Amino acid sequence: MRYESITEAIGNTPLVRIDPAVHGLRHIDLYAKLELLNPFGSVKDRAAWNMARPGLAAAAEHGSQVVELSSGNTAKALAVIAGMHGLPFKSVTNRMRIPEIKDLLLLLGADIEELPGQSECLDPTNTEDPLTLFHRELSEPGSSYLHTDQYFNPRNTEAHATGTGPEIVKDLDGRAPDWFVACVGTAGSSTGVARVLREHDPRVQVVGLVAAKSDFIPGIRTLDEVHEVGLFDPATYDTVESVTSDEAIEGMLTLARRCGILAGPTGGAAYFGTVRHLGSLDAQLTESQQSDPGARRSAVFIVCDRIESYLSYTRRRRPDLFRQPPRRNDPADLTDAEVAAAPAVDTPDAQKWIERDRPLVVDLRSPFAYAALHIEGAINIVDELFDELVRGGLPFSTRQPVLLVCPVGEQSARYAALLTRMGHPDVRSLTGGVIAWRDAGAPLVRD
Amino acid sequence: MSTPLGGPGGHGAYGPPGGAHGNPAPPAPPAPPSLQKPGPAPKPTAKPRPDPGPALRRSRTGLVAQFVLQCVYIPVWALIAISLTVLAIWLDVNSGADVGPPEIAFGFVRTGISWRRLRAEWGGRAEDWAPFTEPLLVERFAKAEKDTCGARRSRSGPRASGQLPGGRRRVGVKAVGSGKWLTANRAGRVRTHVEGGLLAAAVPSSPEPLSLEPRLDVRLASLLGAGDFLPSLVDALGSPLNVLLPDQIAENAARFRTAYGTHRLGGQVYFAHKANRSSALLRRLAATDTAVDVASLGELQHALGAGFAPDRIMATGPKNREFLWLAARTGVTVHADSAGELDELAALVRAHQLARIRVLVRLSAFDGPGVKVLTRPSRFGTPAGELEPLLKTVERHADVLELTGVGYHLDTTSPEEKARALEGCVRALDVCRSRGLRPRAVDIGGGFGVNYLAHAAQWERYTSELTAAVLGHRPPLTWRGHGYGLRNDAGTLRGALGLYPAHRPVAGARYLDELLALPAASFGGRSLATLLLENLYDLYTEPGRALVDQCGLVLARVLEVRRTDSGEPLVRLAMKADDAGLEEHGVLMDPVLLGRDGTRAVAGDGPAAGVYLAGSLCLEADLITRRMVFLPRLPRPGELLAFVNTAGYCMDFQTSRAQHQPVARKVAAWQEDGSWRWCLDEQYWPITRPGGEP
Ligand SMILES: Cc1ncc(COP(=O)(O)O)c(C=O)c1O
Ligand SMILES: Cc1ncc(COP(=O)(O)O)c(C=O)c1O
Repeated sequence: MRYESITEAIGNTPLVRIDPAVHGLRHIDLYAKLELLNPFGSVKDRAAWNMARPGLAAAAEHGSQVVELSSGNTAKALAVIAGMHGLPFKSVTNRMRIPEIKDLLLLLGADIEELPGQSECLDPTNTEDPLTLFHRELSEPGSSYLHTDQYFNPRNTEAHATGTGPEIVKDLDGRAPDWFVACVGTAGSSTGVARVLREHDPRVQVVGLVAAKSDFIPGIRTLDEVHEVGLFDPATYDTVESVTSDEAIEGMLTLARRCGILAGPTGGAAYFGTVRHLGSLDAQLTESQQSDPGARRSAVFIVCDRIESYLSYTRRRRPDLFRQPPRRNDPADLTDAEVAAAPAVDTPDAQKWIERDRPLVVDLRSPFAYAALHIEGAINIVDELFDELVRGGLPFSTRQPVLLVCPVGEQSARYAALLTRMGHPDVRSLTGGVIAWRDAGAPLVRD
Repeated sequence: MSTPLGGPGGHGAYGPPGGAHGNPAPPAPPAPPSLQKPGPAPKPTAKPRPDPGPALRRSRTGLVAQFVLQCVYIPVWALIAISLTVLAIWLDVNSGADVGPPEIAFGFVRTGISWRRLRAEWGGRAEDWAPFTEPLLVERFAKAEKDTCGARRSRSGPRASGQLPGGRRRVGVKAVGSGKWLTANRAGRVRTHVEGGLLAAAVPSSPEPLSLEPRLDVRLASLLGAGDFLPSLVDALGSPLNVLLPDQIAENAARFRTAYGTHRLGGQVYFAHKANRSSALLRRLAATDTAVDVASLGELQHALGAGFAPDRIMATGPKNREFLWLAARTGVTVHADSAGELDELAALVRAHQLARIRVLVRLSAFDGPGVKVLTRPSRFGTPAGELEPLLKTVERHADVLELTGVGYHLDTTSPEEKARALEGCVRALDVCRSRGLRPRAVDIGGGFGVNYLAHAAQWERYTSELTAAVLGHRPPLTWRGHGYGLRNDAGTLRGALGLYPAHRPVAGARYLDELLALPAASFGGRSLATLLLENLYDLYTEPGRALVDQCGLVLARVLEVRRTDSGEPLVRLAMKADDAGLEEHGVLMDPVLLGRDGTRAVAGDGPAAGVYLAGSLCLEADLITRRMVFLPRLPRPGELLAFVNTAGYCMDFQTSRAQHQPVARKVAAWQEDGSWRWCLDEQYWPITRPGGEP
């Protein structure tokens, strides 16, 4: 297929049947709408493009900045679109909680502003929440912004009412599914699709999924937060159910490992929520099926984005999924007795030793701290690097005496014990570290 | 007529369930007129006495006929009509058979009267309903009508949804309504048209107890269980009364020390005195290795008098000349806000030939590489970007000022914001070092927070329900539907919740611990503690609220328990709102109820009671809290309410002498040989023993 512009590749995503052996529903066909195959990686490509498109020409003329409140996929799509049109893009967020997305946005040239946290010492007369301030800035005279306003902009919904929804109907041979399940972030995708499906067949049941309260699934809202969304209308959904982050990850694993769909956590949440919702209904269908065996039901859920951005998110919640092979020469293997027995030397003796034998002084602190103040003649190998070095074997000749220095003498003791175990005959730790050195009045230099 | 159509329990919509007040609430005893705001005058029971002329013209039979018509005939028929309607609906719901009138009739009933009924039964004031104009409601009900009809046509079971005022569909997942309604709904037995029509009756007539139980550590819990100890104190010293626990502050300080120790950090913990004026707390702290942060001349005098030597005192905040002079005279450390303050201090030191004085400078508006983090603008401190001129000032006064560090205090709960500021301080200190200065401390200010509540689930449920109440999905939970900063903007929630996050799993010393463990993003991701340690910097903290956590309570006597004209249960206390500044600081928490003999009321003592608490000023605004608080049972006059864990800013920070009302006395209490002892706050010393024994 040939396109003139990457934006033409937005939409027309596949609808893929999930193997019944995986989901276990006997009378319902389950389909995933693979929004993750949009060119910028998520369902938000459609909304971002549809919301930004009408304003782009004027924005280019005035040199406006594109702004949006987003900490995820909308920002990603807008950053690309803005970049393609030579416009700067700024994303204002509460907290960027997904480091990969944050870095990716910076990589794409986006400007990110994080809003301040909640006030510790409440001032009840202060009615200016950070969002109010944000909106005021947008509407200040002379300001020039293209604010896409995804939580309130009807073009967000429209992108799905004209794209995602009709595509689903088309792929189901002109029929609406019996159930439609979607995660709710801005509510744009679920509202738009639900509208089209209902027009087609008012019997379709729409299930909205949100995160459990005080839980966090990137991209979607919790049960309470969803009320802050302008596009959210409870009447859109027959039920709104919540999913926990553990369940989302569980669903994500199933999609990735068994269905070959590399979905992110909200895709996993949608899968999990769908199977959970339909499980009991499927059982009830058994009886009616006997009278009318031909009438199979169908359900569609949306897979919003891809797995790759959520490695650290998943690692934090499920460290068990990231097994590491055992490591060699790991200071963590040392026993307390070994560490306690590590050769050490206090400041006055160390000064004499340096004078006499000229040991190699290795400062394990960070380059910044080393540059600020250090023992004269010391070399700086920051502990992380040192850790890597010793894994490969002894980094010094055994004929070279070594004095290890860290802030308070704990780390240096561990490494002295480790190097001793690895066969170094004369490695010592500076007792009490560089702090004790300073407190003893010994000289520190700055280059 | 005041009896709503909803039948039993319809009135007094927000009272505790099951007639917790016994029979109809006792009529309010006529309050002393001086204390009572004129309030809504008692409703005139009849028309003004008619003048004798027209009255004489009425015949006796006429009067009797009018009486029978008004008081017997119409009500009897009305009752019969209502009973029949209810019976029909009941039959229809329970039998599942179509015995009632055709469904269309109910459709008519719903669109015709139910919104009015809602309006009557939800008991809100006209203002609450202002957004719901009649055309809007009619339109929404019409839409609901359409939707429900759609649902009924569908074969696939009932929708777990109902219609609420404001056109919001109730979603099945959220158990906001009565459990009965939900189960009926889930089971799918209730017919959709009934759902819509009867919802008003299904909304619980009183909110279930949405308690916010305070977290009580051992010491406070023991004090509240100390029998008539507290009631006898209030008998002797009056209401309100502040009780402080000096031994607790020493324990809290030790926890902060432990957090320092975990990260191998040296430095000092400076108690932010502003959190509480108590002498006992300060004197007890003086007997530990903790230091103190004073923010006024009076606080400095107090600290010196409590036994803090100048090397354990730091002067912060805005300062007048006298404050600066006493600080310089005694040789405390001065945490300066600006270059101007340094100039003033230096001039004072020179003019009076005082010794060289240690100073820290407060910085603000930190920037850093990577993502821009917005911070609430602060009036205090010098922007980190203007370090250069500030250091020039320090160097100009090198003979009289010794720069020992830099610091910040950020009004935020966000550790990331503080981490960024801390990194900014380390960068600033490096600039100092490169200029030959030898600073050695970073002061990270206060704001470590307190966890006020015992149960996270209660806080989550409460905030969810508050959201629902603001959106009109449930009866209000607050006085006059106050939203604590949230508003309903055509069905969308706007504004921000202006409340202290009362349940904080990580607060106080643990917050410090976790903050120090955060990665210093702009220094290669090593922890903040490592950053400080490697650069040989000491850590100063200025905890206020966190250090007086669990250190005291405010006691107040119940004067009166009644219902307001609109049926809301109101408890009037012998205190003013400013005697327990919980509301002022946005801290939501239930008080503890103590019986006359000091027994603490516990769940199950009676039907739980949701009440509003009013102070004794003649101001409408003199409410201790606008939240309906929940008590294990209804209090009785003479009993005590204890506002626990109020030592931080919520005890004496803004108390006034308005109307010549008494200011609470303070006592210090401690345990000795298993029993509680006390003395007046100003008479407490860490060596105080009953009877003056050593
Ligand atoms: C990862 C992810 N999933 C789901 C959604 C929800 O989509 P919508 O905003 O259309 O409700 C979003 C939107 O922000 C998202 O980023
Ligand atoms: C400079 C300074 N330090 C410390 C504090 C104490 O803060 P907290 O009580 O939140 O710990 C404050 C409070 O306003 C302050 O302004």
